[in-house]
Amino acid sequence: MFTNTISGRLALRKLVIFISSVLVLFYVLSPIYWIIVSSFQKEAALNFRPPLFFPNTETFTLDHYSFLFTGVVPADSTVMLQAQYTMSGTLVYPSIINSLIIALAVTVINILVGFPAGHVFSRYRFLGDQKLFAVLVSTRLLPSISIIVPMFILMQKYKLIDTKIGLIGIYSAITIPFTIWILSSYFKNLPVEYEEAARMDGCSYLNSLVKVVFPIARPGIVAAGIFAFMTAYGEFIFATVLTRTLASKTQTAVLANLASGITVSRGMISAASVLAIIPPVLLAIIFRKQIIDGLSSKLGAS
Amino acid sequence: MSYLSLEKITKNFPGCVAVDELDLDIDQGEFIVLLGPSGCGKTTTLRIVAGLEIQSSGRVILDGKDVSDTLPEKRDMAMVFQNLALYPHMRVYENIAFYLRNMRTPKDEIEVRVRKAARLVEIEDLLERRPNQLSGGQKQRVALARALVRSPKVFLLDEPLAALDAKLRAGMRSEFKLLHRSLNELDRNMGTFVYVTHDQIEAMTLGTRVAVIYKGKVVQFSPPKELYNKPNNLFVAAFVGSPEMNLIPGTLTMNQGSAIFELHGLTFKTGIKGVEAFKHLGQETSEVVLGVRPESVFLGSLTNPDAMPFEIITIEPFGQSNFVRLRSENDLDITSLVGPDLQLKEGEIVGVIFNPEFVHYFNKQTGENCLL
Repeated sequence: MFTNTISGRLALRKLVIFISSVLVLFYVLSPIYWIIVSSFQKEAALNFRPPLFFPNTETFTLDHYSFLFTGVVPADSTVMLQAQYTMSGTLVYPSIINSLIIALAVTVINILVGFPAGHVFSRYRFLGDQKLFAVLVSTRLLPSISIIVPMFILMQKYKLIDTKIGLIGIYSAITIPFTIWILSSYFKNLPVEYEEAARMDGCSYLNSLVKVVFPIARPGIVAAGIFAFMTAYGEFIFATVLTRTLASKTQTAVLANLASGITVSRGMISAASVLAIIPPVLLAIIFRKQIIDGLSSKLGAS
Repeated sequence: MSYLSLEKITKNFPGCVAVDELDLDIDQGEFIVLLGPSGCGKTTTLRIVAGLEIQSSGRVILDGKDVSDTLPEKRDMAMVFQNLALYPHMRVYENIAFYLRNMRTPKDEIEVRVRKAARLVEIEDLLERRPNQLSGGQKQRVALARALVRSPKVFLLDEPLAALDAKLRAGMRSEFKLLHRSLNELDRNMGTFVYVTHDQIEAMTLGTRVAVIYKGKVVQFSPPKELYNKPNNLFVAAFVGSPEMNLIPGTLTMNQGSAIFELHGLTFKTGIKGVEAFKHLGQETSEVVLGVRPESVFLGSLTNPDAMPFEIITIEPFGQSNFVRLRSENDLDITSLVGPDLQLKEGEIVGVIFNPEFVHYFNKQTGENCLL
């Protein structure tokens, strides 16, 4: 019935797109829905079969969240859980703050370094430019695990074990090449005339970058910044190996810790996960326009 | 001493020479047009003047100072780009004020000068808009205002009208002319323009002098009329003028004191000009290319003894004139521009006469005009 007219075919197309979008959304959002529901239900309710897809008055609790901020294990937990989570003595909330500080610092460093570097790689030819670029980008191919021992020794030598600064440095080193790569290809699509016009209008090179290129390239810069933020925020191996106390422990390390005992509170892990995904989700909502523009490489140009 | 001089400017790009030892001397207050086909090096030349491109060798002298190594922001030149390059994140007002702000001009003076520049190009009511809310013509005006708000030593324009449609282009063209005149009247010799285009109509109408550039060299630098009437060589002859000049290869021979041009079995009595051309060539018979513009090709009856017989292939009415394509018995094709009232039929055989006053002879080997 759809395929015999043009408008019918368009309607069919829309329908197919709509249904597949719904399926993808279901696939992406259902685990998130499940951790949110779990985080508000009493531990015992999580064992119900069939499960409760929405907490009722009997099973609803905020105890898991209070644990995140106070470290007090819910009174109705099993003795095993109580012992384990009290002993581990880690609070989830400060680790998320740590992660945020580290990720934001890494993002800022990425933009400060990646923006001018990406611009130079896209606009200027100099001796060995392509080789240097290839070397930079190929560092992305190194798995983290392969450099963790040398990094540990290095950090030890400079007394940076269990410090935020140590992690900021390592994460910047990991993410900057990628940022340079994204930004340089973004700049290549940006007409050079904008910056040349700025030069003719009396701007020095640096001034033209700040006053003209930066605002025009904002979608690309935001996209690159968010990639850096996400990498730093979600990094696990270095965070686990190089941190010891809440002075530098990140949310990934702490969350893993919650799940690595003899027994596990699914409610508490869910609550911690919900808290941990709030910052990136907020970020994505705030910058959604730039992220979409940057990813689809749509230029900010008129 | 000229105001702006290019001395032996050369620019090598990997695998090609874009500009080849180019010399150009420009006086203050002139409107110079760099004209040439695409890829001839005219835009590169302009960018070298601006400092956006660094010459491989040669010097740029501006107002007595060598600016060859000066950064573009220090050269005090204003430029209008082909794609206009309006800053998309700024309003029109800020676009125009950008230079003045960079120069730390006092706020109230910026206000006055921006409004004055906006008035000059009639965009006063658009100052609060963003570039993406403007039409093509309006963007063009903003780009111009951005240059006019300053008093630069030179205005550089890189095909500024290329992005506009034909009608708008004609309008903006005459505005450029007015602008250049008013700038030079207001404040003597304030407006020195270097204008790059591949459009010969723009070049002919705007330029006080036109530099025709071909393969990175200036092949002719003269006022537009001279460019049209006295082309230096075959390239200029073929490039300038629309419809194109007829270029017919043949031989020039002397016969009893008068010169005769032979082309594909036809003969044309050249008159005094042919004799002169022959003297320059200094050989008994010479291979030459005869050039005659379509408006100097007259159509008449076959009874005239000097007339050459041609068949009319097509007639294209232009309105103010008719454009006629003709073919001889030996498949030589020429074109003619005749008055609209002439009664002609396609397929008819007519007698063709070249106006001997306006015929050019070019050396077939070198391409040089034999009469210059």
